Amino acid sequence: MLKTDIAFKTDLNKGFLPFITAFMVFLASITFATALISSNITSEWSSYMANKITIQVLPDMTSQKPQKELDDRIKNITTILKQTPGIKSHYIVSTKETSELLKPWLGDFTTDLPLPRIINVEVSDIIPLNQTALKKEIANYSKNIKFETFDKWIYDFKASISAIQTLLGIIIILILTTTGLTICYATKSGLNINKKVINIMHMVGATNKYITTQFSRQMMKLALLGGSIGYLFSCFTIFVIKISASYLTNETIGQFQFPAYIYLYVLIIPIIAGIIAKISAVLTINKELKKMV
Amino acid sequence: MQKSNNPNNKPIISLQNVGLRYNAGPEVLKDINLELKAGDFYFLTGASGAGKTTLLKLLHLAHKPTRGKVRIFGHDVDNIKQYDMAHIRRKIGIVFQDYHLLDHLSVLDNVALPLRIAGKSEKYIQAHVPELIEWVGLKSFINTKPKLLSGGQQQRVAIARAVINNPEILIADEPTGNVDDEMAKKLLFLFLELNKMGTTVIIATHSTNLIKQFNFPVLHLQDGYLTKE
Repeated sequence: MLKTDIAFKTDLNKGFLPFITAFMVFLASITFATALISSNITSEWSSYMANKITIQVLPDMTSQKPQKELDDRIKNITTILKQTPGIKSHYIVSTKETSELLKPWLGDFTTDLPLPRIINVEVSDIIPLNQTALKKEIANYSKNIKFETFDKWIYDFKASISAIQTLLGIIIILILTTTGLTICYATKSGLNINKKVINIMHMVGATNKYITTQFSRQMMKLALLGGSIGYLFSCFTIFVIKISASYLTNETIGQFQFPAYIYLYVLIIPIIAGIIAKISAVLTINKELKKMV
Repeated sequence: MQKSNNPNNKPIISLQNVGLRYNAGPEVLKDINLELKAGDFYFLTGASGAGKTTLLKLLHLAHKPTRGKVRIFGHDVDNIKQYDMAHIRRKIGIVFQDYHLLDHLSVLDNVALPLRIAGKSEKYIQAHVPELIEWVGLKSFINTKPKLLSGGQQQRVAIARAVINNPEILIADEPTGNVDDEMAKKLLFLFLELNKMGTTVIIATHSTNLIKQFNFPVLHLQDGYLTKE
Protein backbone atom coordinates (compact mmCIF):
# COMPACT_ATOMS: atom_id res chain seq x y z
CA MET A 1 0.00 0.00 0.00
CA LEU A 2 1.51 3.29 -1.05
CA LYS A 3 -0.97 5.58 0.60
CA THR A 4 0.14 7.15 3.86
CA ASP A 5 -2.28 7.71 6.74
CA ILE A 6 0.14 9.68 8.87
CA ALA A 7 0.08 13.47 8.79
CA PHE A 8 3.53 14.07 7.35
CA LYS A 9 2.32 17.19 5.60
CA THR A 10 2.40 19.13 8.81
CA ASP A 11 5.63 17.51 9.92
CA LEU A 12 8.72 19.68 10.30
CA ASN A 13 10.81 16.69 9.15
CA LYS A 14 9.66 17.23 5.62
CA GLY A 15 12.03 20.13 5.17
CA PHE A 16 14.64 19.30 7.80
CA LEU A 17 15.39 15.69 6.96
CA PRO A 18 16.10 16.09 3.20
CA PHE A 19 18.29 19.12 3.95
CA ILE A 20 20.41 17.41 6.60
CA THR A 21 20.65 14.19 4.53
CA ALA A 22 21.65 16.16 1.44
CA PHE A 23 24.39 17.88 3.42
CA MET A 24 25.66 14.63 4.98
CA VAL A 25 25.55 12.74 1.68
CA PHE A 26 27.41 15.60 0.00
CA LEU A 27 30.19 15.44 2.62
CA ALA A 28 30.38 11.64 2.55
CA SER A 29 30.35 11.56 -1.27
CA ILE A 30 33.15 14.10 -1.58
CA THR A 31 35.18 12.18 1.02
CA PHE A 32 34.53 8.89 -0.76
CA ALA A 33 35.45 10.45 -4.13
CA THR A 34 38.71 11.72 -2.59
CA ALA A 35 39.49 8.18 -1.41
CA LEU A 36 38.73 6.80 -4.88
CA ILE A 37 40.86 9.44 -6.63
CA SER A 38 43.78 8.84 -4.24
CA SER A 39 43.47 5.11 -4.87
CA ASN A 40 43.51 5.76 -8.60
CA ILE A 41 46.58 8.01 -8.29
CA THR A 42 48.37 5.37 -6.18
CA SER A 43 47.81 2.61 -8.69
CA GLU A 44 48.76 4.82 -11.66
CA TRP A 45 51.93 6.13 -10.07
CA SER A 46 52.85 2.72 -8.73
CA SER A 47 52.50 1.05 -12.11
CA TYR A 48 54.38 3.95 -13.75
CA MET A 49 57.23 3.89 -11.21
CA ALA A 50 57.40 0.13 -11.01
CA ASN A 51 58.53 0.06 -14.64
CA LYS A 52 61.37 2.50 -14.16
CA ILE A 53 65.02 1.83 -13.29
CA THR A 54 67.68 4.51 -13.01
CA ILE A 55 71.30 3.62 -13.59
CA GLN A 56 73.79 6.16 -12.31
CA VAL A 57 77.24 5.85 -13.85
CA LEU A 58 79.79 7.71 -11.71
CA PRO A 59 82.96 9.10 -13.33
CA ASP A 60 86.26 7.46 -12.38
CA MET A 61 88.42 10.38 -11.26
CA THR A 62 91.55 8.22 -11.03
CA SER A 63 91.42 7.66 -14.78
CA GLN A 64 93.71 9.70 -17.11
CA LYS A 65 90.79 10.56 -19.36
CA PRO A 66 87.70 10.36 -17.14
CA GLN A 67 85.28 11.70 -19.75
CA LYS A 68 86.32 9.19 -22.42
CA GLU A 69 86.33 6.39 -19.89
CA LEU A 70 82.77 7.40 -18.80
CA ASP A 71 81.55 7.51 -22.42
CA ASP A 72 83.00 4.04 -23.05
CA ARG A 73 81.27 2.63 -20.03
CA ILE A 74 77.98 4.21 -21.07
CA LYS A 75 78.40 2.66 -24.49
CA ASN A 76 79.00 -0.80 -22.95
CA ILE A 77 76.00 -0.49 -20.64
CA THR A 78 73.67 0.58 -23.45
CA THR A 79 74.86 -2.40 -25.50
CA ILE A 80 73.97 -4.70 -22.61
CA LEU A 81 70.60 -2.98 -22.17
CA LYS A 82 69.77 -3.42 -25.86
CA GLN A 83 70.51 -7.14 -25.64
CA THR A 84 68.66 -7.79 -22.38
CA PRO A 85 65.13 -9.20 -22.68
CA GLY A 86 62.55 -7.28 -20.64
CA ILE A 87 64.00 -3.83 -21.38
CA LYS A 88 61.48 -1.79 -23.30
CA SER A 89 63.61 1.32 -23.84
CA HIS A 90 66.37 3.37 -22.32
CA TYR A 91 67.31 7.01 -22.39
CA ILE A 92 70.72 8.49 -21.61
CA VAL A 93 70.26 11.78 -19.80
CA SER A 94 72.76 14.21 -21.27
CA THR A 95 75.28 16.10 -19.09
CA LYS A 96 73.48 19.31 -20.00
CA GLU A 97 70.11 17.91 -18.80
CA THR A 98 71.70 16.68 -15.56
CA SER A 99 73.23 20.13 -15.01
CA GLU A 100 69.84 21.74 -15.60
CA LEU A 101 68.25 19.39 -13.07
CA LEU A 102 70.88 20.22 -10.43
CA LYS A 103 71.04 23.94 -11.18
CA PRO A 104 68.36 24.94 -8.60
CA TRP A 105 70.51 23.43 -5.85
CA LEU A 106 74.08 23.86 -7.10
CA GLY A 107 73.86 26.98 -9.27
CA ASP A 108 76.16 27.47 -12.25
CA PHE A 109 78.99 25.39 -10.78
CA THR A 110 77.52 22.15 -12.12
CA THR A 111 79.49 22.40 -15.38
CA ASP A 112 82.76 22.16 -13.42
CA LEU A 113 81.66 19.19 -11.33
CA PRO A 114 82.25 15.53 -12.19
CA LEU A 115 78.58 14.74 -12.63
CA PRO A 116 77.38 11.16 -12.93
CA ARG A 117 75.63 10.12 -16.11
CA ILE A 118 72.09 8.85 -15.74
CA ILE A 119 70.39 6.23 -17.85
CA ASN A 120 66.61 6.01 -17.45
CA VAL A 121 65.43 2.52 -18.26
CA GLU A 122 61.84 1.51 -18.94
CA VAL A 123 61.00 -2.10 -18.22
CA SER A 124 58.60 -4.07 -20.40
CA ASP A 125 55.15 -4.90 -19.06
CA ILE A 126 55.06 -8.13 -21.01
CA ILE A 127 58.54 -9.70 -20.88
CA PRO A 128 59.86 -10.20 -17.33
CA LEU A 129 63.24 -8.69 -16.50
CA ASN A 130 65.83 -10.49 -14.40
CA GLN A 131 67.16 -7.47 -12.49
CA THR A 132 69.78 -9.42 -10.52
CA ALA A 133 71.31 -10.86 -13.69
CA LEU A 134 71.29 -7.43 -15.32
CA LYS A 135 73.01 -5.82 -12.33
CA LYS A 136 75.65 -8.54 -12.32
CA GLU A 137 76.34 -8.24 -16.04
CA ILE A 138 76.64 -4.46 -15.93
CA ALA A 139 78.93 -4.69 -12.89
CA ASN A 140 81.26 -6.97 -14.92
CA TYR A 141 81.77 -4.23 -17.48
CA SER A 142 81.73 -1.22 -15.30
CA LYS A 143 82.45 -0.19 -11.74
CA ASN A 144 81.08 2.85 -9.90
CA ILE A 145 77.51 2.18 -10.85
CA LYS A 146 74.34 2.75 -8.85
CA PHE A 147 71.35 0.72 -9.85
CA GLU A 148 68.13 2.23 -8.46
CA THR A 149 64.51 1.13 -8.52
CA PHE A 150 61.52 2.93 -6.91
CA ASP A 151 60.36 -0.01 -4.77
CA LYS A 152 60.94 1.69 -1.43
CA TRP A 153 59.49 4.96 -2.65
CA ILE A 154 56.38 3.12 -3.93
CA TYR A 155 56.07 1.23 -0.64
CA ASP A 156 56.23 4.46 1.40
CA PHE A 157 53.86 6.23 -0.96
CA LYS A 158 51.33 3.40 -0.80
CA ALA A 159 51.56 3.31 3.01
CA SER A 160 50.90 7.07 3.20
CA ILE A 161 47.93 6.89 0.84
CA SER A 162 46.60 3.86 2.71
CA ALA A 163 46.73 5.81 5.99
CA ILE A 164 44.89 8.73 4.38
CA GLN A 165 42.27 6.36 2.94
CA THR A 166 41.72 4.80 6.38
CA LEU A 167 41.20 8.28 7.79
CA LEU A 168 38.74 9.10 5.00
CA GLY A 169 36.91 5.84 5.71
CA ILE A 170 36.57 6.77 9.38
CA ILE A 171 35.25 10.21 8.37
CA ILE A 172 32.64 8.57 6.09
CA ILE A 173 31.56 6.24 8.93
CA LEU A 174 31.28 9.22 11.29
CA ILE A 175 29.22 11.20 8.77
CA LEU A 176 26.86 8.26 8.14
CA THR A 177 26.57 7.56 11.88
CA THR A 178 25.66 11.22 12.46
CA THR A 179 23.10 10.90 9.66
CA GLY A 180 21.61 7.85 11.38
CA LEU A 181 21.44 9.61 14.75
CA THR A 182 19.88 12.68 13.14
CA ILE A 183 17.25 10.49 11.52
CA CYS A 184 16.56 8.83 14.90
CA TYR A 185 15.98 12.27 16.42
CA ALA A 186 13.85 13.42 13.47
CA THR A 187 11.81 10.21 13.64
CA LYS A 188 11.26 10.67 17.36
CA SER A 189 10.07 14.24 16.90
CA GLY A 190 7.89 13.11 13.97
CA LEU A 191 6.29 10.47 16.16
CA ASN A 192 5.56 13.05 18.85
CA ILE A 193 3.98 15.38 16.31
CA ASN A 194 1.84 12.53 15.00
CA LYS A 195 1.03 11.03 18.41
CA LYS A 196 -2.70 11.68 18.08
CA VAL A 197 -2.79 10.17 14.60
CA ILE A 198 -0.87 7.10 15.77
CA ASN A 199 -3.24 6.71 18.71
CA ILE A 200 -6.26 6.76 16.39
CA MET A 201 -4.56 4.28 14.08
CA HIS A 202 -3.93 1.97 17.02
CA MET A 203 -7.59 2.29 18.02
CA VAL A 204 -8.83 1.22 14.59
CA GLY A 205 -6.55 -1.81 14.60
CA ALA A 206 -3.18 -0.77 13.20
CA THR A 207 -0.31 -2.97 14.28
CA ASN A 208 3.00 -1.40 15.25
CA LYS A 209 4.41 -2.98 12.10
CA TYR A 210 1.85 -1.15 9.95
CA ILE A 211 2.69 2.21 11.53
CA THR A 212 6.41 1.47 11.41
CA THR A 213 6.21 0.62 7.72
CA GLN A 214 4.38 3.85 6.91
CA PHE A 215 6.71 6.00 8.95
CA SER A 216 9.96 4.36 7.93
CA ARG A 217 8.92 4.42 4.27
CA GLN A 218 8.37 8.15 4.56
CA MET A 219 11.70 8.62 6.34
CA MET A 220 13.49 6.59 3.67
CA LYS A 221 11.75 8.57 0.92
CA LEU A 222 12.83 11.87 2.47
CA ALA A 223 16.37 10.58 3.06
CA LEU A 224 16.62 9.35 -0.55
CA LEU A 225 15.35 12.73 -1.78
CA GLY A 226 17.99 14.51 0.31
CA GLY A 227 20.57 11.90 -0.67
CA SER A 228 19.88 12.46 -4.36
CA ILE A 229 20.26 16.21 -3.97
CA GLY A 230 23.52 15.69 -2.02
CA TYR A 231 24.74 13.26 -4.66
CA LEU A 232 24.03 15.66 -7.53
CA PHE A 233 25.81 18.47 -5.69
CA SER A 234 28.80 16.23 -5.00
CA CYS A 235 28.95 15.17 -8.69
CA PHE A 236 28.88 18.82 -9.70
CA THR A 237 31.65 19.61 -7.19
CA ILE A 238 33.80 16.70 -8.41
CA PHE A 239 33.28 17.89 -11.98
CA VAL A 240 34.35 21.45 -11.06
CA ILE A 241 37.45 20.08 -9.27
CA LYS A 242 38.20 17.94 -12.33
CA ILE A 243 38.06 20.98 -14.61
CA SER A 244 40.20 23.00 -12.17
CA ALA A 245 42.71 20.15 -11.80
CA SER A 246 43.17 19.94 -15.56
CA TYR A 247 44.91 23.35 -15.34
CA LEU A 248 47.24 22.08 -12.61
CA THR A 249 49.33 19.70 -14.72
CA ASN A 250 52.74 19.18 -13.16
CA GLU A 251 55.68 17.40 -14.81
CA THR A 252 56.56 15.60 -11.60
CA ILE A 253 53.14 14.51 -10.41
CA GLY A 254 51.42 14.45 -13.80
CA GLN A 255 47.72 15.15 -14.08
CA PHE A 256 45.05 14.12 -11.58
CA GLN A 257 42.78 11.50 -13.05
CA PHE A 258 39.00 11.62 -12.49
CA PRO A 259 37.70 8.47 -14.14
CA ALA A 260 33.98 8.38 -14.95
CA TYR A 261 33.40 5.38 -12.68
CA ILE A 262 33.89 7.67 -9.64
CA TYR A 263 30.43 9.19 -10.28
CA LEU A 264 28.95 5.69 -10.34
CA TYR A 265 30.80 4.47 -7.25
CA VAL A 266 29.81 7.58 -5.26
CA LEU A 267 26.16 6.70 -5.99
CA ILE A 268 26.45 4.07 -3.26
CA ILE A 269 26.55 6.83 -0.60
CA PRO A 270 22.92 8.07 -1.04
CA ILE A 271 21.79 4.45 -1.27
CA ILE A 272 23.56 3.67 2.03
CA ALA A 273 22.04 6.85 3.50
CA GLY A 274 18.57 5.64 2.46
CA ILE A 275 19.16 2.24 4.06
CA ILE A 276 20.51 3.88 7.23
CA ALA A 277 17.42 6.12 7.30
CA LYS A 278 15.15 3.10 7.03
CA ILE A 279 16.99 1.11 9.74
CA SER A 280 17.29 4.11 12.10
CA ALA A 281 13.61 4.94 11.63
CA VAL A 282 12.47 1.34 12.17
CA LEU A 283 14.54 0.96 15.36
CA THR A 284 13.35 4.31 16.76
CA ILE A 285 9.69 3.76 15.85
CA ASN A 286 9.62 0.25 17.34
CA LYS A 287 11.11 1.59 20.56
CA GLU A 288 8.73 4.57 20.75
CA LEU A 289 5.57 2.68 19.76
CA LYS A 290 6.10 0.17 22.56
CA LYS A 291 5.75 3.13 24.96
CA MET A 292 2.56 4.34 23.24
CA VAL A 293 0.47 1.12 23.24
CA MET B 1 -24.97 -10.88 34.62
CA GLN B 2 -26.94 -9.64 31.61
CA LYS B 3 -29.17 -11.71 29.45
CA SER B 4 -28.04 -12.29 25.90
CA ASN B 5 -30.17 -12.28 22.77
CA ASN B 6 -28.37 -15.49 21.88
CA PRO B 7 -28.11 -17.49 25.10
CA ASN B 8 -26.16 -20.33 23.49
CA ASN B 9 -23.25 -18.07 22.65
CA LYS B 10 -20.18 -17.79 24.80
CA PRO B 11 -19.42 -14.25 25.96
CA ILE B 12 -17.10 -12.33 23.64
CA ILE B 13 -16.43 -9.80 26.38
CA SER B 14 -16.46 -10.52 30.07
CA LEU B 15 -15.61 -8.24 32.97
CA GLN B 16 -15.22 -9.75 36.42
CA ASN B 17 -14.99 -7.57 39.53
CA VAL B 18 -13.34 -4.85 37.48
CA GLY B 19 -12.20 -1.65 39.08
CA LEU B 20 -10.40 1.23 37.38
CA ARG B 21 -8.78 4.35 38.71
CA TYR B 22 -6.67 7.01 36.99
CA ASN B 23 -3.26 7.20 38.65
CA ALA B 24 -3.76 7.71 42.40
CA GLY B 25 -7.29 9.08 42.04
CA PRO B 26 -10.51 7.49 43.28
CA GLU B 27 -11.98 4.47 41.51
CA VAL B 28 -14.01 5.55 38.50
CA LEU B 29 -15.39 2.07 37.91
CA LYS B 30 -16.17 -0.25 40.81
CA ASP B 31 -16.84 -3.99 40.88
CA ILE B 32 -18.07 -4.17 37.31
CA ASN B 33 -19.38 -7.54 36.22
CA LEU B 34 -20.54 -7.79 32.64
CA GLU B 35 -20.84 -10.36 29.90
CA LEU B 36 -21.50 -9.41 26.31
CA LYS B 37 -22.40 -12.08 23.78
CA ALA B 38 -22.61 -12.01 20.02
CA GLY B 39 -25.81 -10.30 18.97
CA ASP B 40 -26.38 -8.39 22.21
CA PHE B 41 -27.64 -4.81 22.02
CA TYR B 42 -27.33 -2.51 25.04
CA PHE B 43 -27.77 1.12 25.80
CA LEU B 44 -25.42 2.51 28.39
CA THR B 45 -26.67 5.41 30.43
CA GLY B 46 -25.53 7.42 33.39
CA ALA B 47 -24.98 10.99 34.45
CA SER B 48 -22.03 12.96 33.11
CA GLY B 49 -18.89 11.77 34.85
CA ALA B 50 -20.48 8.44 35.85
CA GLY B 51 -17.77 6.58 33.96
CA LYS B 52 -19.53 5.66 30.69
CA THR B 53 -16.61 6.71 28.47
CA THR B 54 -14.16 4.95 30.79
CA LEU B 55 -16.15 1.73 30.59
CA LEU B 56 -16.26 1.98 26.79
CA LYS B 57 -12.49 2.55 26.75
CA LEU B 58 -12.07 -0.65 28.75
CA LEU B 59 -14.15 -2.48 26.18
CA HIS B 60 -12.02 -1.37 23.24
CA LEU B 61 -8.70 -1.90 25.04
CA ALA B 62 -7.79 1.76 25.44
CA HIS B 63 -7.41 1.14 29.18
CA LYS B 64 -6.49 -1.82 31.30
CA PRO B 65 -8.35 -2.45 34.57
CA THR B 66 -6.68 -1.55 37.84
CA ARG B 67 -8.19 -4.67 39.34
CA GLY B 68 -10.36 -7.56 38.22
CA LYS B 69 -10.29 -9.44 34.94
CA VAL B 70 -11.27 -8.37 31.43
CA ARG B 71 -11.44 -10.97 28.67
CA ILE B 72 -12.12 -10.03 25.06
CA PHE B 73 -12.44 -12.68 22.34
CA GLY B 74 -10.81 -15.15 24.69
CA HIS B 75 -7.79 -12.93 25.45
CA ASP B 76 -6.97 -11.77 28.94
CA VAL B 77 -6.24 -8.06 28.43
CA ASP B 78 -3.59 -8.05 31.15
CA ASN B 79 -1.37 -10.34 29.11
CA ILE B 80 -2.31 -9.33 25.62
CA LYS B 81 0.38 -8.70 22.99
CA GLN B 82 0.28 -5.62 20.77
CA TYR B 83 -0.21 -7.74 17.64
CA ASP B 84 -3.23 -9.54 19.17
CA MET B 85 -4.54 -6.25 20.53
CA ALA B 86 -4.47 -4.74 17.02
CA HIS B 87 -6.32 -7.71 15.57
CA ILE B 88 -8.94 -7.60 18.32
CA ARG B 89 -9.44 -3.88 17.71
CA ARG B 90 -10.15 -4.63 14.06
CA LYS B 91 -13.18 -6.60 15.24
CA ILE B 92 -14.40 -3.61 17.24
CA GLY B 93 -15.98 -0.59 15.61
CA ILE B 94 -15.70 2.48 17.80
CA VAL B 95 -17.47 5.83 17.55
CA PHE B 96 -15.65 8.27 19.79
CA GLN B 97 -17.52 11.08 21.49
CA ASP B 98 -15.13 13.60 19.95
CA TYR B 99 -15.01 11.66 16.63
CA HIS B 100 -11.18 11.23 16.47
CA LEU B 101 -11.01 11.77 12.73
CA LEU B 102 -7.71 12.32 10.96
CA ASP B 103 -7.74 15.95 9.86
CA HIS B 104 -5.29 15.50 7.00
CA LEU B 105 -7.37 12.78 5.34
CA SER B 106 -10.53 13.21 3.28
CA VAL B 107 -13.86 11.75 4.34
CA LEU B 108 -13.24 8.82 2.00
CA ASP B 109 -9.77 8.13 3.41
CA ASN B 110 -10.99 8.42 7.00
CA VAL B 111 -13.75 5.90 6.40
CA ALA B 112 -11.38 3.65 4.42
CA LEU B 113 -8.73 3.67 7.18
CA PRO B 114 -9.83 0.46 8.98
CA LEU B 115 -10.02 -1.33 5.62
CA ARG B 116 -6.54 -0.19 4.61
CA ILE B 117 -5.19 -1.24 7.99
CA ALA B 118 -6.89 -4.62 7.55
CA GLY B 119 -5.13 -4.93 4.19
CA LYS B 120 -8.19 -4.67 1.94
CA SER B 121 -7.54 -3.85 -1.71
CA GLU B 122 -8.17 -0.41 -3.20
CA LYS B 123 -10.71 -2.06 -5.49
CA TYR B 124 -12.65 -3.30 -2.46
CA ILE B 125 -12.35 0.10 -0.81
CA GLN B 126 -13.63 1.93 -3.89
CA ALA B 127 -16.52 -0.49 -4.15
CA HIS B 128 -17.69 -0.19 -0.52
CA VAL B 129 -16.61 3.11 1.02
CA PRO B 130 -18.38 5.59 -1.30
CA GLU B 131 -21.59 3.58 -0.95
CA LEU B 132 -21.54 3.87 2.84
CA ILE B 133 -20.60 7.56 2.67
CA GLU B 134 -23.59 8.12 0.42
CA TRP B 135 -25.78 6.21 2.86
CA VAL B 136 -24.81 8.50 5.75
CA GLY B 137 -25.63 11.47 3.51
CA LEU B 138 -22.14 12.77 2.84
CA LYS B 139 -21.75 11.92 -0.85
CA SER B 140 -21.01 15.52 -1.80
CA PHE B 141 -18.34 15.72 0.93
CA ILE B 142 -16.46 12.57 -0.02
CA ASN B 143 -13.22 14.43 -0.75
CA THR B 144 -13.65 17.04 1.98
CA LYS B 145 -11.36 17.24 4.99
CA PRO B 146 -13.11 16.75 8.38
CA LYS B 147 -12.29 20.26 9.62
CA LEU B 148 -14.57 21.69 6.93
CA LEU B 149 -17.51 19.59 8.14
CA SER B 150 -20.06 20.38 10.86
CA GLY B 151 -20.08 18.42 14.13
CA GLY B 152 -22.96 16.26 12.95
CA GLN B 153 -21.28 15.53 9.65
CA GLN B 154 -18.06 14.56 11.42
CA GLN B 155 -20.07 12.27 13.67
CA ARG B 156 -21.51 10.50 10.64
CA VAL B 157 -18.02 10.06 9.21
CA ALA B 158 -16.93 8.53 12.53
CA ILE B 159 -19.92 6.17 12.45
CA ALA B 160 -19.19 5.16 8.86
CA ARG B 161 -15.58 4.45 9.84
CA ALA B 162 -16.73 2.34 12.79
CA VAL B 163 -19.05 0.15 10.75
CA ILE B 164 -17.20 -0.12 7.43
CA ASN B 165 -15.31 -3.25 8.47
CA ASN B 166 -18.45 -5.13 9.66
CA PRO B 167 -17.23 -5.23 13.26
CA GLU B 168 -18.19 -7.99 15.68
CA ILE B 169 -18.65 -5.38 18.38
CA LEU B 170 -19.82 -1.82 17.86
CA ILE B 171 -19.13 0.63 20.66
CA ALA B 172 -20.56 4.10 20.28
CA ASP B 173 -20.16 7.00 22.67
CA GLU B 174 -23.07 9.42 22.17
CA PRO B 175 -23.29 8.63 18.43
CA THR B 176 -26.40 10.69 17.86
CA GLY B 177 -25.53 13.64 20.06
CA ASN B 178 -24.94 16.04 17.18
CA VAL B 179 -27.39 14.86 14.55
CA ASP B 180 -31.05 15.69 14.03
CA ASP B 181 -33.78 13.26 15.07
CA GLU B 182 -34.26 12.00 11.54
CA MET B 183 -30.57 11.18 11.11
CA ALA B 184 -30.37 9.77 14.65
CA LYS B 185 -33.16 7.34 13.81
CA LYS B 186 -31.50 6.43 10.54
CA LEU B 187 -28.17 5.74 12.25
CA LEU B 188 -29.86 3.65 14.93
CA PHE B 189 -31.48 1.56 12.22
CA LEU B 190 -28.00 1.03 10.76
CA PHE B 191 -26.81 -0.22 14.13
CA LEU B 192 -29.88 -2.41 14.33
CA GLU B 193 -29.15 -3.92 10.93
CA LEU B 194 -25.61 -4.70 12.04
CA ASN B 195 -26.98 -6.21 15.25
CA LYS B 196 -29.29 -8.45 13.23
CA MET B 197 -26.22 -9.76 11.43
CA GLY B 198 -24.68 -10.69 14.78
CA THR B 199 -22.80 -7.55 15.76
CA THR B 200 -22.84 -6.82 19.47
CA VAL B 201 -23.83 -3.18 19.95
CA ILE B 202 -23.33 -1.04 23.00
CA ILE B 203 -24.35 2.60 22.80
CA ALA B 204 -23.71 5.22 25.46
CA THR B 205 -26.45 7.82 25.32
CA HIS B 206 -28.37 10.41 27.27
CA SER B 207 -31.34 10.24 24.94
CA THR B 208 -34.29 8.73 26.75
CA ASN B 209 -36.32 9.01 23.53
CA LEU B 210 -33.91 6.71 21.75
CA ILE B 211 -33.95 4.20 24.59
CA LYS B 212 -37.74 4.14 24.70
CA GLN B 213 -38.05 3.91 20.95
CA PHE B 214 -35.80 0.87 20.52
CA ASN B 215 -36.55 -0.92 23.78
CA PHE B 216 -33.22 -2.68 24.25
CA PRO B 217 -31.77 -3.52 27.67
CA VAL B 218 -30.14 -0.62 29.44
CA LEU B 219 -26.94 -0.67 31.49
CA HIS B 220 -26.82 2.12 33.99
CA LEU B 221 -23.70 3.53 35.59
CA GLN B 222 -23.99 5.37 38.85
CA ASP B 223 -21.12 6.32 41.11
CA GLY B 224 -18.93 3.82 39.27
CA TYR B 225 -21.30 0.87 39.77
CA LEU B 226 -23.00 -0.83 36.84
CA THR B 227 -26.61 -1.98 37.06
CA LYS B 228 -29.04 -3.34 34.52
CA GLU B 229 -32.45 -1.71 34.19
